[in-house]
Amino acid sequence: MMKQYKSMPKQVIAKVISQKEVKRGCFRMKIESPIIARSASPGQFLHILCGDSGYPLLRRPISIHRIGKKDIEILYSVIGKGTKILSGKRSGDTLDIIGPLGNGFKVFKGSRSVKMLVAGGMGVAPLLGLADELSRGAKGKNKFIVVLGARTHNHILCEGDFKRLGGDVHIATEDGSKGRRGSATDLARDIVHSKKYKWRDVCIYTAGPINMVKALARLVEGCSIESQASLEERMACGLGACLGCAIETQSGYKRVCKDGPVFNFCEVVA
Amino acid sequence: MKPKLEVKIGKLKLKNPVTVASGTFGYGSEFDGTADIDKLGGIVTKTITLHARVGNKPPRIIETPSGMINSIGLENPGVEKFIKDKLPFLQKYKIPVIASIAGETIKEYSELAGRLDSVKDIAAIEINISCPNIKTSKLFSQDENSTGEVVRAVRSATKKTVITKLSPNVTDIGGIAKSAESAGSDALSLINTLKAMSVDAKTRESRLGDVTGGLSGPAIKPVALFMIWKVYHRVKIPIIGMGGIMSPSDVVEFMLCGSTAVSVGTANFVHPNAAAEAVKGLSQYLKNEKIKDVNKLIGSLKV
Repeated sequence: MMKQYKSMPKQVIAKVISQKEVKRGCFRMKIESPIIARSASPGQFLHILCGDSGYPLLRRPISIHRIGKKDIEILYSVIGKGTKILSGKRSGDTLDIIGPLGNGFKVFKGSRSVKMLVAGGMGVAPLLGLADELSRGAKGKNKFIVVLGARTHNHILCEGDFKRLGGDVHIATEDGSKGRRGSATDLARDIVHSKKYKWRDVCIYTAGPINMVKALARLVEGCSIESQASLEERMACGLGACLGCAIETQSGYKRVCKDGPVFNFCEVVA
Repeated sequence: MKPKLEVKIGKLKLKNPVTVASGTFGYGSEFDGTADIDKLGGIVTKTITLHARVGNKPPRIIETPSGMINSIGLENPGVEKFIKDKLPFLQKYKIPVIASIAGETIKEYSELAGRLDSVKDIAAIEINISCPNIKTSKLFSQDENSTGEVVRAVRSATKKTVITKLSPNVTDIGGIAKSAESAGSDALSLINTLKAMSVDAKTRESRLGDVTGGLSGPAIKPVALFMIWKVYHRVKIPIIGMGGIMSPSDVVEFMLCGSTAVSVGTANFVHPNAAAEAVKGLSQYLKNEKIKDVNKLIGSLKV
């Protein structure tokens, strides 16, 4: 039986509880919102108004990182004016947020497949929340495999968090400064081979650069029917109305905000 | 004392002058829960075509200073699916539904108008002859004759109120407006988006999959105000003004320049309840200024 997530998005004015620069240019923010926290699920996102004088004009879609009882966390890197303004928010400041939005990761209850979380760069953001959920549902050590891919050891995020949740963490860096040198995709493939798993028994959850997601989808080749990827596209409304965040899928154009951001692997055009 | 907010667009009575612009509010249901849809003067649907359209290649939007460029390309499920799947939701709000239509040929416009004429819950038809994101060398709205031809075809296919939506990408919008009026349009909608581009110097590519798009948002408001002011002095039919309306005072500005009603567009993406908030703000403005009837504002710019 699949766990169903259905919730009505709300526009709220929420208070920033804390904000910390966890790595250079990368921030973790805790926001107080019992309403959103209650209905949110891992993989969903928040649509955050960053500018207050009309610039930047549009909201910024940011994935939910962790879900508390009364609060939510986001993990983001500063890439433009919107996120720059966001990074300047301090404890006590308020934010105009619409959320939770989109479809999160589906955890198939009773599924015996090996869960493998593959994160490229900032892709760790939505996957840690999923790890929270997976760790609650499983017993013992090494409940799930985590593959973290990044440019250098300085760009590895949340390693300790995943370990604390019982994840069997593997690391790949492009420059070899930590873990295996190479891509997260190659590392994921080698883990599956070395442990003699069959792809059809592996459920991949991934988020990160689109090329990484596509490479994973090619690797799995439709064998891993439960596998899911969180995708990104620029957005305007976030509510499914403007059709601005369309991406190409195996079944035509789909809206990242409403049909996603989490898509089944069979939808990803590899 | 509560100021009178009701306005008339052709045969259509709106309980207040604030509507939502085509393409910015989907088919209403997308805003269920985040917007007070029942407070709106009317809703203009996403443009509907005879057959389903998949839309343009992504990326389809990019933010620019005080605005955004879109290149959606009229993605929609087609008129029959609209009537069957989308319209029922809108009926429950009991606000006028204005169906926006677009065709590739004059015959398609006429067929669409004819089909919608028989649908009781459609209050009016907006003819979109000005979408900049379709593959054509010239838009119907970029020529007085072709504007007139489309409007005449739609006019003879429906008894419902007909609104013609004009493009700002023309040399003389007054002439085009006049042509639509003579052909039997009950009202005009302006402005559609301005043809625009956004380029990435690093990749040397356009930031839009379809290379070009249409600019909307506060950036185009001054252009919209000017064009409405210009058209207001050329035609007698009412104008629905739009282009970057973000606040109640924007609504007032558009009405002063000659709009009988307005459409909130890009603002819906930022604040889902922007249009309903504008109704409240407009009412407050009238109270503060001791204006009893919103119609007194129309074209009353002091010059």
